[in-house]
Amino acid sequence: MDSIYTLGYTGWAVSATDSRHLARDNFANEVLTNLDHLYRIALHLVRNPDEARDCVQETCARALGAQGQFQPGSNLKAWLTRILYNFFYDSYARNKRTVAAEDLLDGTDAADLWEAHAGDAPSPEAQVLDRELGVKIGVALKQIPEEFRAPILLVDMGEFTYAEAAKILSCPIGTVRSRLSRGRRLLQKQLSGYLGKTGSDR
Amino acid sequence: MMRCDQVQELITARLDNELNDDEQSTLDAHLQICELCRRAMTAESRLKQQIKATHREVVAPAALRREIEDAMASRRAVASAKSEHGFAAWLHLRGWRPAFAVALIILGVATIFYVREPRQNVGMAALESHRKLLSGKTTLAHYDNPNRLRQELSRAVGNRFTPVALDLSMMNLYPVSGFVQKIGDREVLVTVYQGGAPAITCFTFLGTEADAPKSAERFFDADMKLNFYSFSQDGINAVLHQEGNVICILVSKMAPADILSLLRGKSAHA
Repeated sequence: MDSIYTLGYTGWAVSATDSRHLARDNFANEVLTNLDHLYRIALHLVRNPDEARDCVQETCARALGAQGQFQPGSNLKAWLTRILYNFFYDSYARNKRTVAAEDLLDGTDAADLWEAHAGDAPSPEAQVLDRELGVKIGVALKQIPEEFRAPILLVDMGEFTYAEAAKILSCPIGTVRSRLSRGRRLLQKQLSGYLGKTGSDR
Repeated sequence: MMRCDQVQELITARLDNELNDDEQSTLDAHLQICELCRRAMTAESRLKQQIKATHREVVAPAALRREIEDAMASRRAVASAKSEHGFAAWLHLRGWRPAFAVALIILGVATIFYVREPRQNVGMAALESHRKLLSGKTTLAHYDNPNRLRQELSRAVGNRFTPVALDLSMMNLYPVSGFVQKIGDREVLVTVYQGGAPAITCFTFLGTEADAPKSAERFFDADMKLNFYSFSQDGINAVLHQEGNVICILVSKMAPADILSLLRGKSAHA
């Protein structure tokens, strides 16, 4: 029979079973407090709510299984998000990340896009329109390539720092920064048809 | 003075409080003279706030939360049962002692038959291990420092051999985890590469080309003067080759040709 020993952060041979004596209940509760966050991120990664549920369930199962490798006091939310992303990349991402950003930007002057959404503080009427904009953002996020969407999900939604996002995505911090900038511009491009209707540009 | 398109990234980082002092000064100088970029920053700030607000409105479905809570409760129950009714306690049940003796005899006979079985093929076991990794059935601890991971793995086999290391950063794949897998009587070092492409698992062990499964297809690379053996099962592909006394098997859902080209272009060795 095969036997598997996993490597822990602190050294050799911490198996999943060895960690059971750790504060299991507290850990499980802490995982549950991050459920909304995980679901929101998952919902933007995959195609539908069912797949998002699968992602979150799998993430929680993996987190509980690997509980012994989590260092108490470190960032559990980031750790869980990294597990979620690893599962997503292995199970869902495949070839979707190869869409060229240039195809979406197609030479549009980004400054024009920003200007369409710029202006003074929105009026109450504009705030109502902005709620509608929220829905549009959810749809638009699905349209942009995964590599540019990921930093938006992590930094803008997950409120992670660039360093934390870089660790989750296994990439340099500079990559997070440039892709985030690019991603927000792509998002503006996707929303460009709608932005004229908001109160923001009056 | 920077051009407008060059400060886009600085505006982004400023809104996220990720600018250093020099960058802050550069951006401030530009914003003082550029109305367009000031408006761009206002717009990006509003978009960021809107994204955050959109996000907060979404909550996990109650049914999902219940399912996960139930699963956690089951885990707790199983764990408690194991600790309270462990093997030692079970043995103290008088009526079960004869049954235990019989079971021991059966186990002994089965072990003899098992030992006579031909050696388990490492290549086919590697495919199965990769499949388990993808399905999440194997728990992985993530490791941030590839060098340390390699050192730990080498140490785990008494430094008799080291895992073959690959630079797959071009494919946004990095060594994130590793473990020792016992396959038959062999110790196999397993390194898991994950990231932006289909995951790759690298298996390294002391062996020969005879460890390739019988079904494997052989390719001879005249430039490298190496044999490569390709084999697959259920959509998972593997390529095996020998380096000195070490066998390396790369397993992935990538096409065999792609795995082969990775091996031909590999730039780093342990």
